[in-house]
Amino acid sequence: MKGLLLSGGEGTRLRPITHTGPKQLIPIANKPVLQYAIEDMRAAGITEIGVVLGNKGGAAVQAYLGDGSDLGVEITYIKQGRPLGIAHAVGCAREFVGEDDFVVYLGDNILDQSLAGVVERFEQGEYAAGVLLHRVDNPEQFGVATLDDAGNVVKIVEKPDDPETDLVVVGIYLFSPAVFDAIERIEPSERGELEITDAFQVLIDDGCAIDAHRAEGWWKDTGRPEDIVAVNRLVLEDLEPSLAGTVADDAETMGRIDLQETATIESGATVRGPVSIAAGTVVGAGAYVGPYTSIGPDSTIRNAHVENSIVVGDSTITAEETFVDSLFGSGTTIESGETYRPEGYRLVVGENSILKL
Amino acid sequence: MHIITLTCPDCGTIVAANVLEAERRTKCPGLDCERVLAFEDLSPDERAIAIEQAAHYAD
Repeated sequence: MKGLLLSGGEGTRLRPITHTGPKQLIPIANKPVLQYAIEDMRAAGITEIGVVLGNKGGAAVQAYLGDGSDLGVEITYIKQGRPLGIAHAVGCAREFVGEDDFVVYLGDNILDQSLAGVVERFEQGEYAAGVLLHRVDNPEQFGVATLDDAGNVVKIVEKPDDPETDLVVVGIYLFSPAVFDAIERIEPSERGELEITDAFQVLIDDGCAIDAHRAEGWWKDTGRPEDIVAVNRLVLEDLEPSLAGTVADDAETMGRIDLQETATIESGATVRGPVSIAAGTVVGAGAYVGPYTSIGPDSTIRNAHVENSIVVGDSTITAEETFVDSLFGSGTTIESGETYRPEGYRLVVGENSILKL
Repeated sequence: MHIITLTCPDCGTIVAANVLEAERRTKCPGLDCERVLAFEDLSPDERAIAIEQAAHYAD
């Protein structure tokens, strides 16, 4: 079985973070989102992976993944260009896939459940496609599945105005090569995209067997900042502690902490796990970091309380303030304005930034 | 919809026809690949389809 990782799109809902990088490289517990997908596929025995690139962020993705050898996989790049729909992205991979079955993994999706059992079940059956289903509170934002009494998928509709169920299709699909003929038979939707749900519906209407089962555990489509922060919390729940860095004798630490080599927790700092701290970062005097916080590389945190948040990296946060449920992009500086007059916030706020003061 | 792609003969990277239609000539996006890929590398039929399809997608 082959894998297809979709790493295109524009990440409009994650601006300003995605003004300077693709959403699939935003770190969760200091690991890029798409790396979770690749590791999941590799653990399921999939080592030939096509990575679909859009017009934005492709170079950054390629710089990170390379040829895939560092991650134990072999990568073929597929340039989709404009975001013309998931079915278009899949269709671009026809030559890569050949006659193999394949997994399609949206690069901004993270799933608690391992893919291995799903792949094994698919390969044992005679399915044209496979889906994982998950109950959500906002089905109108996703592809909604309708099942018959026997539990077979009879309909999948993309972002319906009036969803028939609250069961949605997780952004991980399995296909036989039959999907390519189905894609040939669909046309762009009203929003100008080739919808994968339409391709599914062609297969369903043709009487093809669709393997469907409920995803176990949590699933996150990391399309919004609050989703990024939420899944960071979920992943940190299973954090393996490791103190490879330096902890001062009178620093206060509690709970599970992943402190990477060359990172430092200095005297007068407090770190309450679960927390991930990347290389080169200093948590200094007066800082209170955690729980459920990831601090990226080469950053400095002093005086500030940072909780349930992500600092992507290369940042300095030294203002004596409390930050919760926050996402700080690379290169952020937040320092005290105490000495400035008149009093007030002094901000340089980029396009699409959100501040709640 | 029939989706057309071109595979770089040097590195195996795959490029969608809509990219070639928009760029006309583009350096292969493959890692360390110096090949230049052109819209004309597609067959005449493929080029005609790509041009027609480009009209379907709104900006």
